[in-house]
Amino acid sequence: MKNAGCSSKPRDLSRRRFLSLAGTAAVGAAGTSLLTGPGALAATTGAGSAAPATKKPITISYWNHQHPPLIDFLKVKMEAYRQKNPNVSFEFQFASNKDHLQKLAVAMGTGTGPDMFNLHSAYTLGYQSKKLLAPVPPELVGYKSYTEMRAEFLSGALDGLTFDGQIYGVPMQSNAFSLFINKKHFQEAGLDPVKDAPKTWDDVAKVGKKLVKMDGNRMVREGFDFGYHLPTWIMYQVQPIIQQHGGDILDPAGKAAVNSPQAIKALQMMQDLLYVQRVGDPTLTTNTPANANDDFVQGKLSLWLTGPWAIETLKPNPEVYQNYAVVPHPQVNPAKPITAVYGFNLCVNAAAPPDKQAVAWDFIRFLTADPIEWMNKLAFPIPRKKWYEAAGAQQFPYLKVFIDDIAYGRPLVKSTHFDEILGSMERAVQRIMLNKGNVKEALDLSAVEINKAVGK
Amino acid sequence: MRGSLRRSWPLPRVSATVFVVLFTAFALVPVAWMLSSSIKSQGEVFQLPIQWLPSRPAWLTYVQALGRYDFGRYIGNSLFVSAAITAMSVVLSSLAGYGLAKYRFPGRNLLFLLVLATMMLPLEVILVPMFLITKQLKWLNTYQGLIVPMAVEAFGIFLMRQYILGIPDTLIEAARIDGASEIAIFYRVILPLCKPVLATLAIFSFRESWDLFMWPLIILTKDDLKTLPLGIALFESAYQTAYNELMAVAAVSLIPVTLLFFLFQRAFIQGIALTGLKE
Amino acid sequence: MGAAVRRAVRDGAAGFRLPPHAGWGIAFVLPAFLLLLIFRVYPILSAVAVSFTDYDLFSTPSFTGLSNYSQLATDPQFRQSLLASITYVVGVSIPTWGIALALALAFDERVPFRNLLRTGAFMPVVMTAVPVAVVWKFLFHPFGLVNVFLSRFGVDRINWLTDQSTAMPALIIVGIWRAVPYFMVIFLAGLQAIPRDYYEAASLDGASAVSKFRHITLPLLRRTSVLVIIMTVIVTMKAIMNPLIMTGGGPAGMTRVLPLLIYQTGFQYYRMGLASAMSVVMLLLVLLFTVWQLRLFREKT
Repeated sequence: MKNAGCSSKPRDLSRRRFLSLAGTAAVGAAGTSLLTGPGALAATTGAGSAAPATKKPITISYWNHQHPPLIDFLKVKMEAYRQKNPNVSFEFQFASNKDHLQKLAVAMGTGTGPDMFNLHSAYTLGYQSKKLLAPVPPELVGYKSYTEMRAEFLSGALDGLTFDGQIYGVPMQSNAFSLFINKKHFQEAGLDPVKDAPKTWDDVAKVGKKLVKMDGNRMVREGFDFGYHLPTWIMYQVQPIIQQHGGDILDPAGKAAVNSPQAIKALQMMQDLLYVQRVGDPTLTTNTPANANDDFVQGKLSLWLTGPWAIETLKPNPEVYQNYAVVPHPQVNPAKPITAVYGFNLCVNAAAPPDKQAVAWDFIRFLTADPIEWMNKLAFPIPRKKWYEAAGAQQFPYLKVFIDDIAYGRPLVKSTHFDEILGSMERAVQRIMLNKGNVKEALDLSAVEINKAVGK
Repeated sequence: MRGSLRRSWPLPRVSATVFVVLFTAFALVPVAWMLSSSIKSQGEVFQLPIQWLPSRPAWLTYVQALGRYDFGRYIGNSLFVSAAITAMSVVLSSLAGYGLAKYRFPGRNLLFLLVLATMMLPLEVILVPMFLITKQLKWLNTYQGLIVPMAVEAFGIFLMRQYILGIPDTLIEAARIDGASEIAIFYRVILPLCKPVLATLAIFSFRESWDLFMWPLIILTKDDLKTLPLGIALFESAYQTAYNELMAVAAVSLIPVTLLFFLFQRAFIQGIALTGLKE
Repeated sequence: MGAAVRRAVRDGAAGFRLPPHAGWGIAFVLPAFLLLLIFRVYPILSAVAVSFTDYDLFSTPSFTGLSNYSQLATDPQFRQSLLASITYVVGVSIPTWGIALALALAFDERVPFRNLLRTGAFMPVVMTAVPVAVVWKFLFHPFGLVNVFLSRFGVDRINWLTDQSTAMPALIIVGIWRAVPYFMVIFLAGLQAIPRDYYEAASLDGASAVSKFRHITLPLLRRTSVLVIIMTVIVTMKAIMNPLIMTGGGPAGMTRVLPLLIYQTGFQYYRMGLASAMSVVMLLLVLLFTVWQLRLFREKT
């Protein structure tokens, strides 16, 4: 992935902000856009300003999940921040996703939690309902008010973080899935990777069928398949498909809607793709939670739903890395596109002392100041508006496709019992897709489980 | 003469060899695959059909993998912690096993049952209260916090008790008549007879403590005391895992326990001849 | 002397008199027991107490009486998990006992390269949990080694880990692979305690190998056998890593054994009270089994 370097040109800034920057003193930052990002505004405002209120030595504990490019990036950033604020040091811990969440749960539950941590957007509601998260002080992250902050972000991005009018985290990565295709497979099958790229699920069925490769009665290459290796991944795929069919996971009253006629239709469509149109064989996957794109990376799959960060994972197989393309997420009705958006957010521990909280928010502001850098170095879209229109961002491959799919994204089902809903849907999908189970029965059972979990 | 008397296998000796070889092959297949993965390139690991030997063995994977994180420190910590736990476990379990096997006191059977009950729950269930106790002792992020809560496992006590039950009481009585103190009896009469089970206990204690993951994960929030399993887990990242490197480090982590087993095997084959003691 | 004590106690004549050296017995047990008391017994009691509350890991818990337990009684997910656990425990324990014993006996013979082979056979125990699960998951792939091996015997392709009916058998096979060497070593240690003199005497009497096995080996291995039976049940009942990594408890919950359900309920759903209740049920089941086994093989002291 090409590294655009750290641009220091002004970007998504309103005229007002740009003018206020003109008076900002230059500080020798290590190649960040601190000068011109929103953070600079805070540097010039008064109370609760960007520079930490205290000058005494202060240690911030920060826990994140493991993702080597991100960890390296964070370490560089922490060092850069320390250079500007020599009294601040960091205690940084990272662990695999599952371990990170478990460690966090135990620590928060025993009053030994870190000052700041990153949290998947599906868990913010649960954490917030237990009063574990500190609300974002808008001035500390560079905005005059919540209204201004909300205006700056893409519409769905702050939904999962907003409760009772307050915002409880800053997004550092926001994804939707788009459709990755293997151009070489298309060409081999006599298809045009541009003209024949699927737009609707009917297209996926037709094109997918042509891309399947058999060896006797063994399928050695799947045309299209879903991912089943993680409950969250299953939800990223299933929720938009249900919504595209006019249904939803929960109805407006909060009761399970997974067995509504629309949802049944949606899951039936998914099942038919595999067992009627036979575009894939779900038993063949070698994807694991720690290796999510393996089938596509190995060239055993031609059409695959995943996020922009997947580009990096294609590198170990040059044959695929040099022959991939990205097209928009398949839709039932392309005029009304729906995807699911999820992400990771930076949150601050409500139990941390106020001076540490202030420093943590300031660091978060510093960290997320330059979305272009995040995209180019990590393929992590920060869901703010307009940065992607700048020249520096355009280098990122298929940027428009990714951004559009994020823009159409609906947040994941909002519930304090998110994990239980996930588990129930996972089992339903395993019955339906892996074992060709009866769709209505599986979804009825899931509805019962979900209602029990949410207490309806 | 040892072993020339067919002592326990009820069938012809050849069948024993065949059976043993078959099982060992079954046992080793996954290990073989693990080793073969460790010298493959990242993309080759999950290729099907299975390729045992990669096209170009990447021996450097080991160097790469071990260099990725502070494995020197992790291995050092693991060695220290496991050795400490093993030592404590062997001493305390054999003492307790002897007490439960050869002494009678009120509530003994209930105590034994209580001891057994302590290993019937998975760690996750008692994780939070254990953490709180450790926190109160101010043992978070310390070696003692890693070692002491794990130093005794009911299994060790059970193992020693069952074994010591088989030692004839007459030996103990005889020693008492000779005027030996209770401690001396334990040290001079019981322990020497327990070599096979002590070796077993040492191997199992070391192995269990070598593998400990959840406990160090929860009580360590600084890097200096991290143990090997935590290091291995670092390879599992959010989107893509270099399984070849993971397997390489896992292969390295096999060495201490395997070595220990290989060396202690002699204790299993020594056996005892009680007649010799009557003199 | 024991009879005298009993008589004295019964008569109440001499007051209560402790058995001889009782104090020493307690002293020997005390150090280990103290550690267990602090780091195991107390936390377990804590968990039992939590099972009567609505503790969610973060807020102050409030007492809810038996509601968690009554919830479990009507919870189909708990029933499924219980069934999965029992299936796994029985499926692994019985073959493990048999194969481990056989292996120990076989290794007791003068097998060529015995030390090396024995170390090789022990390797399943040495491998750490994550690589074990990752490797076996791959071996059970429809095009993986297990199916390749089975196809030599004309067995059609089995979708081991995605098919609801074969996921548990796959886990059981891995469970056996892992448990057999572990208990083989314990049987080996137990075998060493059988004095060779007995076999010599039996040989002089002209006993056959089978007869020696039935009349010397088996009876004298009883204590070890009880240990193995109880420990296999305890160990397999607690198993979480393989189901977690190989199947995630699926497909459709078929391999969602109790420890996995408890972990999810407590640490992912934050229903710690309910998770504790599940653990108490699990503890009681294993405890009852243990008491039963100990009674069956009670020492005739």
